Amino acid sequence: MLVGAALLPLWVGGRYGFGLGTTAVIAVVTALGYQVTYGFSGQLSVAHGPLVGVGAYTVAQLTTTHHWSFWAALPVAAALAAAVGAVVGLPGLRVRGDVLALVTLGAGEILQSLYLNTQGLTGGYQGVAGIPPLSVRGTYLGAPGLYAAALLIGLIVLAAVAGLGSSPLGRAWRAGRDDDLAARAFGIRTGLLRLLAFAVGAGMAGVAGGLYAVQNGFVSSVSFGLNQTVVVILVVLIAGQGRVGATVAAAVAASVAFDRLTRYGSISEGATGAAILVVVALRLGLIGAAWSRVGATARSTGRALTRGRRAPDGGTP
Amino acid sequence: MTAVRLEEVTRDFGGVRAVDAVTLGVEPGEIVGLVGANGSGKTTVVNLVTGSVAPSSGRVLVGDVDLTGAHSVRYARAGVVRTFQSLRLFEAMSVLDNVLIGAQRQRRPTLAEAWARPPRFRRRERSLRAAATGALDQLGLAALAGRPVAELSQGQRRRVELARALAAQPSCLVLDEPAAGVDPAQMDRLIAAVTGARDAGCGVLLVEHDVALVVGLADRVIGMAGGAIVSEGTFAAVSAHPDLAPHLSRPGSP
Repeated sequence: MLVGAALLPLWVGGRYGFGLGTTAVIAVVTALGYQVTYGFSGQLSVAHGPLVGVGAYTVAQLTTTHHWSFWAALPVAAALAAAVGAVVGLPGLRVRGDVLALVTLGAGEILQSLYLNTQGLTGGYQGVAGIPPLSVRGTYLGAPGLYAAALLIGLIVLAAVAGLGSSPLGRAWRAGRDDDLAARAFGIRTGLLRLLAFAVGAGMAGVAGGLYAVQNGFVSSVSFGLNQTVVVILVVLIAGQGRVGATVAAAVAASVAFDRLTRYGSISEGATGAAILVVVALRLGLIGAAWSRVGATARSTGRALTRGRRAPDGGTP
Repeated sequence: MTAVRLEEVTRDFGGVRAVDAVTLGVEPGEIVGLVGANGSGKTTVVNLVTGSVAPSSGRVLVGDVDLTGAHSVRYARAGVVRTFQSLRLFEAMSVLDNVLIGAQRQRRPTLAEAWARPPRFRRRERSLRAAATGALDQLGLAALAGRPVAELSQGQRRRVELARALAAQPSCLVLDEPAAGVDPAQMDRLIAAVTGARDAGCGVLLVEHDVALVVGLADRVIGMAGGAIVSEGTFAAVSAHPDLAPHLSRPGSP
């Protein structure tokens, strides 16, 4: 599946294909970050889009005004987004669920208004233009080079998220997500870990934002609003909460779908709305639920094949 | 050194005195049965010794350290581990992952180890898995390790709760109705697991309605009524107390 995603540009073809490939990688990184915040630690943040903006503006400013290289600016973008994320995530120490969603929605709107009103840093309504394209040792890389760099960064983020998922930290996050009180009864400082998850997810959003800035050469606040947040939430819901591999597939699929739909004008917003309705109706997440179904069927078939008895421990199910 | 000790602890909820000047201790290597009618204060005692609820007055000591008013996380880190009467498993996680949460009680998970994965990370992860698998084996759950807990029966879930607590290698194990809903065929395993923990030096506080289990397991029984300790000693002596007899008159019934 990963190889399939990586070869996407060749399938679509040409310069345009590499552009779409980079866009897909950015979507994957954004969604993987949200899987840390929402999937692993269970915080329904509605500020992810604006947090992508922190990374984008950071790279934009550092590479234009301060003439930094993209490679030096990107870690700063990630760190700054993580720091802003830690502030936005502070309410997560006390509140969860719908209240947290509303609080982070407000925080995201504040970020949006900062993007529009801090002329010196963000260029206000005009945004920041003239971001130099990606270069290595003074030579500009074309669309294929940018795609290769984005792919490399995307793979690092994927490894980082998968590594978290299978670590004691990932387990502690999930435990706090499923039952805060029980997790605390086993020594897990759930509040602090939620804050950490918010910061890590925001840091990855910052990486995605940095890639976005260098790909487009221009950033403005319209790219980092509630619409973008909703799309990220949708992608993660389609993949299923905490499912890393499915998130890659869902984010790539969403990127391709948006790319095709935008040719037909505003139909993409309608499609987003319809997709939200379907996903919410199915709750579990489409791909995640299908995988669980396949897994359960395989297990029960396996049991039936390997032994005649049912109920492996002799108990009644 | 006591595993856990309440000294003159009182707890009020609004105007209601749930626990009234209770002094009790659980020594390492003993099982203390806590009995009494519904509303006698047993659950509040469980919440007090695990730090889930702070006392209105009095002191709570864990292994001779005063943890009065401390966060329940500190109680857990100090070695007090509990099961929940209402079954509080991590629903979206597998049986093994639930028990691993118990096993990693003394770990402070960090980003650095998750990403850098030094050799000692793998060694620790293996030893966590060994502890978790051991606890699952003890309770006959090994075959269910990969299943989501949401798929299990009530009795199986009850045993996962106990396995999660045992994997935490507590110095004080607080069991709130550990046998409710457990298949009688699995009861021997449960009893062996709890006595095994005791014999390894763990102090056990057992709150249980199943009279046979209390008689079979407890080295000492404490009877509560109206938020206070009214009787203490052998089960026979405690169950003869006029406040307790009506609730404890069915020895041998499941």
